[in-house]
Amino acid sequence: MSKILEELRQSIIEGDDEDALNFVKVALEQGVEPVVILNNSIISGINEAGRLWNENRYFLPDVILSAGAFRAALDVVEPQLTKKRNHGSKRILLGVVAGDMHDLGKTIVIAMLSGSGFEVIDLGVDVSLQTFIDKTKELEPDIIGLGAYMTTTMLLMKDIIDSLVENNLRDKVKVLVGGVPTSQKFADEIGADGWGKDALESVGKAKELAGVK
Amino acid sequence: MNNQENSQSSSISSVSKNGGHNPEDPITWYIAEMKKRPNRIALITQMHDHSLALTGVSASDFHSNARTNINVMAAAYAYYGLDGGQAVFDLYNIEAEAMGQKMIYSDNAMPTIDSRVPLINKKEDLLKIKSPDWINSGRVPFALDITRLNAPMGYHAGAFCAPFSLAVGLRSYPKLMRDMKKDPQFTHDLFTLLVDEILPSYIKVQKELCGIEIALGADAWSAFPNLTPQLMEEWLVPYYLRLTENFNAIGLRTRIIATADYCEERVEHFNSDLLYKCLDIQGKISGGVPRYYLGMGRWQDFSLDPVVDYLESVRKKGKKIILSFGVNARLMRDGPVDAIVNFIRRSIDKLGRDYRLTLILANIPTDTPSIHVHSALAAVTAYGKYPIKDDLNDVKVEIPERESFREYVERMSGESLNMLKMLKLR
Repeated sequence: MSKILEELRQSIIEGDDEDALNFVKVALEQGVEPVVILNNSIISGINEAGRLWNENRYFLPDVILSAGAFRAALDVVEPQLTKKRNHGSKRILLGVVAGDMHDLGKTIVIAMLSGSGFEVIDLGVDVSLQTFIDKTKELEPDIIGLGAYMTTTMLLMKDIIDSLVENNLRDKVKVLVGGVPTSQKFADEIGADGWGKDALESVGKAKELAGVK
Repeated sequence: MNNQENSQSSSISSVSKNGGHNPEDPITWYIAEMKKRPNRIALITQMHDHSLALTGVSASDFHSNARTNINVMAAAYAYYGLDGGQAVFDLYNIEAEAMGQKMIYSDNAMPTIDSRVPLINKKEDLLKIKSPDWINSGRVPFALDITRLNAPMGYHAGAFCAPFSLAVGLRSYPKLMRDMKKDPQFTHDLFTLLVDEILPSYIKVQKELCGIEIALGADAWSAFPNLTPQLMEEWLVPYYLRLTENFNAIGLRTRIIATADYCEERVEHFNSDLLYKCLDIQGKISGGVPRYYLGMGRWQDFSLDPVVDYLESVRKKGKKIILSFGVNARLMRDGPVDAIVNFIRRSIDKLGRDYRLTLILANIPTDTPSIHVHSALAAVTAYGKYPIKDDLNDVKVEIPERESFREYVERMSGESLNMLKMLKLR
């Protein structure tokens, strides 16, 4: 790997968004193909951060900084990718349910899912039931990811799943739920297809649901 | 507080002196229930979301109307018979909102900070931050009313959002993590402002207007793994000690809850060294008698032996120990009853005899079945009865058959239409 690609990768692992931004610009100026930058540095870097987290060598502050550096670099490269990077990539729609603004977990999940080859569409926080339904009709995702971080708002996840049924969308999409107050039992109760107890596990569950190795 | 509330407060003392209760005042129900309390380990809780769900009251009314809030909370505490009854609100947000932080309101959830637009979005915004009018800004009047209304339940504490959690609210967690790493001076300036000016000025108003005797801070954001022990040492210890000194100067004691709580979610990643470091941090900031808080973690899935090992090492130095230990929120919601009861037996067996133990239902989730809460209290009442028996396997727990919350309110209120309507049960 060239020096600049290794520096970019390292900046993402170390969570330095300023360096990541600089290095990705230099790499493009040097004529490195955007797809090479993406795969060899950006995705490789965030995956390494995930690996360190999984080994208990990285903690939330480290991972959130890596996710920030990942985002900074990706924002530069993404518009320069001529086509979607992988025609076979699975599409996942993510959002935090209405009344809930806690998006820390979502930020990490998005970085990890993107690093795993998913096409991630972030609906943001405080997302209404109707927006989830409308966007599901419009974008036809393979998976919808619902996040909630309060025990009041997590109850809205059931309403969203019920509405998917009413709109004849439930058979066309898998539903993955997550967030601090949720559990496997809760996911089963509301009829979700999967529960991710943290960002890394959510990626694993998303792969399972999408049939991706 | 308006005149009606004043007259209600004065009626409380006369009613409670008579040992009965006022059908129109849930605070007196709670006081009456507490008179039946056996001598056992304390079981306290945070249950504002769950209490709200027991009633039909909207979140917006609950989080803006102090009388509604305390009636809902007092009725729920009375129903369950839990200790430490108090009205509780979204206390992480009060200061930030009063300072100008944008909030999101909804009918089904507590107000929450709009983290998309943190008040200190750019670093230069810090220069604009100052103490607001602590009497009239945001929902401070609501918070002050609640502080006053809590007094009849024996609770004379002021509430504040601890420095780190408040910094997260004003700056957002990702930005604050970046500041700590890349611009420590800015972060020191922010913490200094919060610790030396913002929080003392707010707590001073609470003392002057509400007569509080102690300042209680909430600090869930600072739990592991949100912060590593290294970051806790650098950013929590010096500022929390300084805040305590500042509050002392006002004439108040300080307790901060949940700081450095060890909340590993992944069973396979449980690490006793990290646990010990978190407990070290807690010991450093508690001063005097060491106070430890393990309230939010999933201890139902972990061995308690490392906790005992640590506490024994402290006790061998001749120190008494105060421990708050939590029954996890997911366990409370998901149950089953046997798992809750067994966890409480295990906790009391390991921790109940040698330390001053308080058990905490650290947030009862909204849709928790009431039988889970009744069972938790039944278990604490049986296993935690003083003196605690040597062999808890011989102790039987009777799970009570209880009326529903609505039936309880109907009974205690004498089917008062006013009370049932106020709690939106009819």
